[in-house]
Amino acid sequence: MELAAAIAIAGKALGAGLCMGIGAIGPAVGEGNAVGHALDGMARQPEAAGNLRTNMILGCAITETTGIYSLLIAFLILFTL
Amino acid sequence: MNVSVDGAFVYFIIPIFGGIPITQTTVSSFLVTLLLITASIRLGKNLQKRPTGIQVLVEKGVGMIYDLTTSAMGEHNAHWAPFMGTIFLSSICGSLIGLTGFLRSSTADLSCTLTWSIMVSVIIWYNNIKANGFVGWLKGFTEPVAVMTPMNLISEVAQPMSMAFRHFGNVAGGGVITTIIYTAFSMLSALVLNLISASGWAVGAVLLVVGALLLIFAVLKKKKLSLKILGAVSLLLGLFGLLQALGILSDVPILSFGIPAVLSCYFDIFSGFVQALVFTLLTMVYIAGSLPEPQENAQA
Repeated sequence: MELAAAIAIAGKALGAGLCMGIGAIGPAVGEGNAVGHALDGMARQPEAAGNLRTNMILGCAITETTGIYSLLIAFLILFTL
Repeated sequence: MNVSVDGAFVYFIIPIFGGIPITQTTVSSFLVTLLLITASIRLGKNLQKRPTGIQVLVEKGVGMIYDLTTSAMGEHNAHWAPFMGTIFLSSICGSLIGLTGFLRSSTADLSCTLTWSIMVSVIIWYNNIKANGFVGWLKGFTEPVAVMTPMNLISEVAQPMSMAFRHFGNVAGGGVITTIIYTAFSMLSALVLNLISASGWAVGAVLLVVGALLLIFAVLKKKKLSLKILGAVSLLLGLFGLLQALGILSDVPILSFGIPAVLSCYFDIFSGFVQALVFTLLTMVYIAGSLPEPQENAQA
């Protein structure tokens, strides 16, 4: 395999790795924060746990969006570039 | 790394209007629609006063959808519940249909989720225009201050895009990750089996016997589950290694039997439900935002 193809593959692998790695930091911090505060709420008021849980899951799914964008871009880099 | 990750391939093309491709997604979504129609017709027939069996479940489900709608959109918008229930059920069935093995989940294709989110946006624009007129709708973009207009326009486009990509990304991404893990485990089992069968049938036979003895010992003596699993796995490996050495049966991906299924439970089932819930709830919130407030004086 000539050098150019090898460099292209190395670039793709590096790009996809970086894209997913950096893209995962934001949602992780955001969701950790959201779940933490939801748990505080549940601890303070256990009878509101059901309501808090659904809103927590909803919030986590929405903050996940940017992580999913970077996942999609990583797949695009890997499989279609 | 021969991971084959491909989109929905085209079955055939209907030659009218310049060729309409019938893809896996079209077939799955038609099947889901058919499934939901027949289910609702059958379950909706001869409802008794005192519900029995399946009718209890159905009533509970419909009740939950109505509660979800009224809690998100207000009492006066309860009539949106059937629409929201349709989106919710077609999204869940669309994601779960991929588990049947030969069909592809309909939501794992951008054309499906983008259609839904554009449909929702069109409903929102229609309600806005109906509520405060076409000029009122255009003027709405310049709120609260004229310089915000580009931002409002971008957010008008970004909203359907983000809803479509979130749902599509989760389902399709989950599918790709499960495929990669299946391939990894089948490579692993190919490696292990080749190792066993490379040096003739002796190793396979020994492993078979040892595994069988371990399994019987663990079962009889009621030992820990991990011992039983170890016995069973070594029994299987020995058996298939022996078969491969004798040339009867080669490269059976036995290691990719149990483990990836657990993962697909998370990716396909759990995130399918969560994404359906998120998509429906966001649709409710956006549509409720575009609907006029209830006229208190009208409802005395």
